[in-house]
Amino acid sequence: MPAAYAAGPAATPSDSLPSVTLEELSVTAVKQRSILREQPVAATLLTGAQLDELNVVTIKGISDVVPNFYIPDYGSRITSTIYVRGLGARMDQPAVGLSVDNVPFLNKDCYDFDIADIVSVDMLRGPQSTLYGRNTMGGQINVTTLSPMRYQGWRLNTEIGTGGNFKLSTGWYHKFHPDFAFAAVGSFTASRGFFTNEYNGRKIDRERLVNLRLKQDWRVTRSTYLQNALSANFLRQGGYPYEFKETGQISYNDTCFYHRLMLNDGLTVRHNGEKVYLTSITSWQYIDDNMTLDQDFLPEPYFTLTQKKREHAFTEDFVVKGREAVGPWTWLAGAFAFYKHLDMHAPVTFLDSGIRELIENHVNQANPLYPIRWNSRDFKLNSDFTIPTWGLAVYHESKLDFDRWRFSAGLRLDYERASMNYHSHCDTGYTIYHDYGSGEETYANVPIKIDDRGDLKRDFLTLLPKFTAMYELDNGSNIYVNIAKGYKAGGYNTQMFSDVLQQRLMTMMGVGSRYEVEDIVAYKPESSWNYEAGAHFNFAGGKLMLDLAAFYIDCRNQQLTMFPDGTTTGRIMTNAGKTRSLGAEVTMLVKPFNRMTINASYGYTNAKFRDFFNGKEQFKGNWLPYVPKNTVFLQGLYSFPGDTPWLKLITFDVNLRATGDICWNEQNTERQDMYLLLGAAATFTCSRCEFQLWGRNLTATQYKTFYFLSMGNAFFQRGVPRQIGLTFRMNF
Amino acid sequence: MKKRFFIAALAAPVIMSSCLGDPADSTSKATLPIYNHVTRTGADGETKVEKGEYTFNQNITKATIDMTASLLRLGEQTGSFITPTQSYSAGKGYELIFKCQEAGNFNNDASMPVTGLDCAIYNLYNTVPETVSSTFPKDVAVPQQYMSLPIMRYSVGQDYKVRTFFQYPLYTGTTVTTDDVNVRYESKKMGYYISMDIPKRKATVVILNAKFSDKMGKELTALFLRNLDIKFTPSGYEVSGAGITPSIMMGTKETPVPTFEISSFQLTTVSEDMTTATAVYDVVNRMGETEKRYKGQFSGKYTYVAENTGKPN
Repeated sequence: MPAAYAAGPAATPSDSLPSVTLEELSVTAVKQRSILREQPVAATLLTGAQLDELNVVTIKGISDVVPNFYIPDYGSRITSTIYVRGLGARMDQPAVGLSVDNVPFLNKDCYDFDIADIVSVDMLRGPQSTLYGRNTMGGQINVTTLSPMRYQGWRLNTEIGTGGNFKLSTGWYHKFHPDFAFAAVGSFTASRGFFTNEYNGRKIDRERLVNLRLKQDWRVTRSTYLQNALSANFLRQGGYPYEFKETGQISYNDTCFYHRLMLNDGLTVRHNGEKVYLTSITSWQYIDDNMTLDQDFLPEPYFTLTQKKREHAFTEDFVVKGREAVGPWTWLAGAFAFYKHLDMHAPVTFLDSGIRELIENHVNQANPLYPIRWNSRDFKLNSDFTIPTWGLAVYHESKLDFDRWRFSAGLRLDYERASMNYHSHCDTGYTIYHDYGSGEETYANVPIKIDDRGDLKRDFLTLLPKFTAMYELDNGSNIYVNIAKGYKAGGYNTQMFSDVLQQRLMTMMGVGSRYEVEDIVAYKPESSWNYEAGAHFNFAGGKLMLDLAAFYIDCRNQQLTMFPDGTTTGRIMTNAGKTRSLGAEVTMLVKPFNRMTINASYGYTNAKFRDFFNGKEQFKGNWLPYVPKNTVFLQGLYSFPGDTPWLKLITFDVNLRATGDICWNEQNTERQDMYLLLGAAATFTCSRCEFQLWGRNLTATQYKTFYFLSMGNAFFQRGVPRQIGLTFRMNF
Repeated sequence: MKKRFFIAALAAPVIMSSCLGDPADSTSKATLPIYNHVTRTGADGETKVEKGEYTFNQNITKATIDMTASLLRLGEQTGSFITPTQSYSAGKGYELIFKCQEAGNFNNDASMPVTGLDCAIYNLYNTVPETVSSTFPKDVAVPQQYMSLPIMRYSVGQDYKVRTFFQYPLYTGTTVTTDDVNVRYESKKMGYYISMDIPKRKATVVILNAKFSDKMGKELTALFLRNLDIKFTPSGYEVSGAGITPSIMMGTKETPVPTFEISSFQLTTVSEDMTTATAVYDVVNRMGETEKRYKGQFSGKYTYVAENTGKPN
């Protein structure tokens, strides 16, 4: 747990309002109590020390450490697909919320970035929609970074490792005044990459990442505290090391990369009034990124995709919390508003092989006596979008404490308006020939000019309730039940637009049927009911801590892609799935003796379709794809003092992560068996510095983290191979 | 609360209508041209088809309507009649329905009373989507969506039975095709659009989303069957042809598809108001090495209305 903040100047008689403490500023503390194990929720708190031990600087690093929490590492940093207890999303809206220093990240394209000097990561599992709102159906992750009020001085962290990995971060923390402190943290990450593109012999997954964070803490008055965290993240990455199943090779001819500029600012203001605590969390997020792909991932020139976007997002969360209980009753209430404005330019470029095999051959098979040939060997299908989205919500939670019983009920009313303005355009053409047997003549020249514009709007209104009951046992232990509704927002999926345009193009060649844009790209919200029972146990004076949870999730209107009735090709986005997920989680911390700590977590998820007909096949009873059935984390830490004046402590760490089985498709015909990753570290701690020699996947386990189909071809992404590195940390 | 119907003014190329008065006055006047299918009752059952015109005066506040039929050709006479003012009601798809047992006299001749008038004014929903029809050749006209269609029947005197019908219907429903090994394929997406040239008794049938087998791959957006014959009978009409090489639109160029042959095609109306039809046809597919044959059967209508959806379908 984070250390308590040292008290400020002694209170004077005029200072009748209680002071604000640092711990009260995190959104977890604002909306819940600081000690998560005293809450009726399955939660994992990872401290900075634990994260340093595991060498974790991104949320992907805690995959599998938290039970039933899985973030496969694939593609590039734009792909942050999180699965929690069987709930997840590959496209569009996330199933898990993320906030860093109280800044809510509304776009999951930005979830993956390095964060220096993390103090804690709270991972709340199960729907958090009542207090945290949209897109927290699977849970909520809150990351807190080091405050300059807590630490002053310099912090240096540098690392080298296999794969050409290099990291350097430097932080300057300074208290200008007892009530005002400032921190500037910068970091640089570079990696040569692990995977080679056989086509050109170059490393695919290289990256350069620069982060900057400015954090300021200001105690304005004894009862008012203000914290601002401004961060910038600049990324240049290759990415997309997808292996073609047939050849087992990563080999493609066109460029793939992901570039991103991200700016975030979060301002938290807390005021302790006489009767209430008032907290305002205001944030702004800006993203400017470019994802360019060889969309076929083959050595032949089929087609490429570029997706450039710029997004501004503003949020305001205003929380009022009763300062003192009124009898058994405590309460909090809040209002939340957000506005997101996204501009996107997403052309798909058809190249020679794509034109020939995906267009000409299809058409010419249908009418070989009148074959077509495209007038050029490449053309663009352009799609431009403007997507403004805004929402308002009000929420309330009441708690009743009766001796050892604690009950709570919460309700959120959430309204959202999603809009899309689209412009699809294309200017190309082809020539029809007439094959009259002994020769060929030009039959007609056909220009293709598409210029479609439209405006779409949808409104969503939902109520999100939550009920909990908890019984406190001795020694800080408790048991609880929790029923909550989860919610994932609806909206418009821009990725489906290329399907719309391609079908439009085919209809202009007499083939295929046209779909209404709204039918294909629009999707409704997804909702779920989560039923959970759990317990937090403390034994032997804290030497053994055990957390248990069992859950059942009933998900309706799951957002999935399917084939419309009567066709064999083309997809639409729809709310077609009914799924259910049940499982259990165990987390344990054991200190059998002073020098040894054992951390263990196990998650089991049995997630299946209750009903899903995708227009061609029924998948009832099949496993949900991409959801691991088991996650295992086991870590043994042994520390002993060094025998020299400069070496204070030596710690050995052996850890094991296991994930699987994972089915890759709805048909359950492709799968990844359970795989184990062995890690180890030896840390040598001096008075002001630390050396750590570490290794991941020491047994060089080969495994797959992702699977997909493109043009009917199957691709995998391999897991990262063995890594060994050296980290040096210094505080001064 | 009574539903309000307002016969909208449309600037469609096929119909002409006008709206007099301010809608705030709750009155509307519209003239809708449509074809009359006139059968002379008796032994010969002679059937003639001529273009007619019907003018409707609607009072929305009172929910009443009267109709003037003009250009009505019966035998050697051309004339008109006016109905008394009647109440109207709403159909499931918001069509305006009114009935009148004694609907005036033809040319004010008491010996030629108009009786048994049963009229439904539909807002046409079934039509070829604009993104498809925009590529059609100029000679294949396509009506605008939501145009008003007065579909009615009545008798004049003892000799004449009159029904109105639409010359540009898009029939949708269920198509079942079977191949030569009896593998069945069903589609609800296929539609049969008929563009009639009535004076020449010829029609073009456009099969939308044409797909005859699950193995066929992508459907053909619009398959044109040209130069079919129309035959008007006492029961309705029949559109038929044989040995047809269909064509498709590639961009705006109509292109033959010799790999397909429609060896026979017949569409026949089966309801008295001619809004429902069935079709049977044979297709020969000569793509690939092996010739494949399909037999298609269709049943559907062009005034299909989805129940309780709040809109016609």
